[in-house]
Amino acid sequence: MKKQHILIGFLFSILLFSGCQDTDFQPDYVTLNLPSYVPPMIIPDDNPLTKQGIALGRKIYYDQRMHHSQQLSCSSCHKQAHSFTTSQNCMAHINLGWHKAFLWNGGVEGTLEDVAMYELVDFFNTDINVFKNDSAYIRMYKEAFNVNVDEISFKYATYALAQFFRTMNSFNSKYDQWKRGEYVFTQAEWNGYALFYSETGDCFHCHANELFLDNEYHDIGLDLSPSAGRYTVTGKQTDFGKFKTPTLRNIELTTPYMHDGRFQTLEEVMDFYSSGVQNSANLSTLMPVHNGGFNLTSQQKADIIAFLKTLTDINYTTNPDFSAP
Amino acid sequence: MKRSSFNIISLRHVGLSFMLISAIFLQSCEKEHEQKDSTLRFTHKVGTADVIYDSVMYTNAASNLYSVETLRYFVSDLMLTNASGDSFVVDTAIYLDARDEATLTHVYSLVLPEKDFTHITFNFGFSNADNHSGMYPSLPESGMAWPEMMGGGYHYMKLEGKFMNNSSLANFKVHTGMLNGNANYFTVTLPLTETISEGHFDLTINMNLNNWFSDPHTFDLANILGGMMGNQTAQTQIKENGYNVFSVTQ
Repeated sequence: MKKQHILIGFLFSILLFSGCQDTDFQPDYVTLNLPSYVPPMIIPDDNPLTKQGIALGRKIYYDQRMHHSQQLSCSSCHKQAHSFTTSQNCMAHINLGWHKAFLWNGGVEGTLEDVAMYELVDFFNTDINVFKNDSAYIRMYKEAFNVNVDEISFKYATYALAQFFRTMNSFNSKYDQWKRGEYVFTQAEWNGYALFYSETGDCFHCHANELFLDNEYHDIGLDLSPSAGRYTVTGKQTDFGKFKTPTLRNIELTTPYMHDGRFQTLEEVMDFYSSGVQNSANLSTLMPVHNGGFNLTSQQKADIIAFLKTLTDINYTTNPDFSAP
Repeated sequence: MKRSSFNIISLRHVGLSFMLISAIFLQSCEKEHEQKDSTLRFTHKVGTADVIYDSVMYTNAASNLYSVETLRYFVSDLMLTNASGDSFVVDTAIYLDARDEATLTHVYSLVLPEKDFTHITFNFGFSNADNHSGMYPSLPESGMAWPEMMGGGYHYMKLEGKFMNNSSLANFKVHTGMLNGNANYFTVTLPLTETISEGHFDLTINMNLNNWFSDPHTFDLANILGGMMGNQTAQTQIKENGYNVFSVTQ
């Protein structure tokens, strides 16, 4: 009988305890409002979006104490006005929720939580006490993850950053408005669209789907002897000179272009694709080499650029939800 | 006290019986599943040897010395059929990347009717009725999208590599799809060496890449230097060569 009483008491305690947990910690869960034509986003089961987690991630993103020098934050290199990149040519922070690898060479693979861990621990060498000694952070960690000051860790910091990243989505460009039937392309934009999605311009094979990327690596023939790129990660000779395909969304705002920022304008980029392609050893099979490129006319280049500019989303670069808190 | 002990013992018996019955039930279910598991594998060869990628080492009927770097394609409406015309759907559509092992083996828990199946059939690509833009929003399948202005839907196949063209290396892209609504897909029917009548199957479908370039058309890669997506003649030739590309082993 005594054992039975103990068992009943134990079960009752569990029920009571779990009930307390539910009532004490009730974050505001957030559902992203994404267009029907974009793929489902990768969101780990153990890190659902919450209003409190996103707010914490946003604070961390803009906090210059993240770098061990206490003088640099994510936002130092990723400026909202430039679609969260800068002239230092880091990859833009836009629609990252669909990526499975990060950096130009894909050096960090996995989820946004993984790349956030890399940024804080390896790249910034962040001092965890920045969080633990700040009453605002202590309160926000509690609100976001129900953890006390002694439980604050990089895990929760990276989870918060990942949540903020997953809200940084851009789907209100002229192109999106055209998809929704709210905008009519000009003749030049329409011509550019037709070239983009044909083998004449052949942009779409790499800048694929509604995200305008393929999550793959290519050597597009910038140099006959390119820099190592993906090879530094895999060690495979066939990956030498390959770099991650960047999205073209907001490309107008993310100058300079290419992994090394060699081109300042979209006109220079188009000139390269038209006649500057080098027949490097691992040149992508999607690139024409027989005439040095796609051999586009001046009008065709201008039309493709006109289409590329329909991917500009000013709402994204001015959205107060993504600005410094 | 005595009554209480009896109750506990009874409960133990009930619990033990329940566990035993559950275990037997689960085991029988597992056995049933094991018996029904069927496997479909896809292999890719040039001649009789597995493809070696990224190496310019193969010669086709047009005497092109070529390499293979990319081979991605869809097959759809996979069915087993028998002499009476009965059919059984194995899968509606499969995306394959020859360089991604995870896409090459497909295991099914199916209850096959005892119909003495003699053939496996599938569409290479999609029938026009089944080829809709937006079916696959996520990568890698979405990377196979065929432009709306060229008919929409998805590429049936992307076969890419390099070849010797006038003493220098050039790229080739054999990309097939529903150009302007033309039915460039084709139905492959492969006879089985042994009828499938035991409720499961283990089949390997092989693609012989060199056959894309011969019989009935000698396909010269130099003729598609700018691509072939908008070239219906090339689409037709690849389609007609494709009937001899596949074989099946059990």
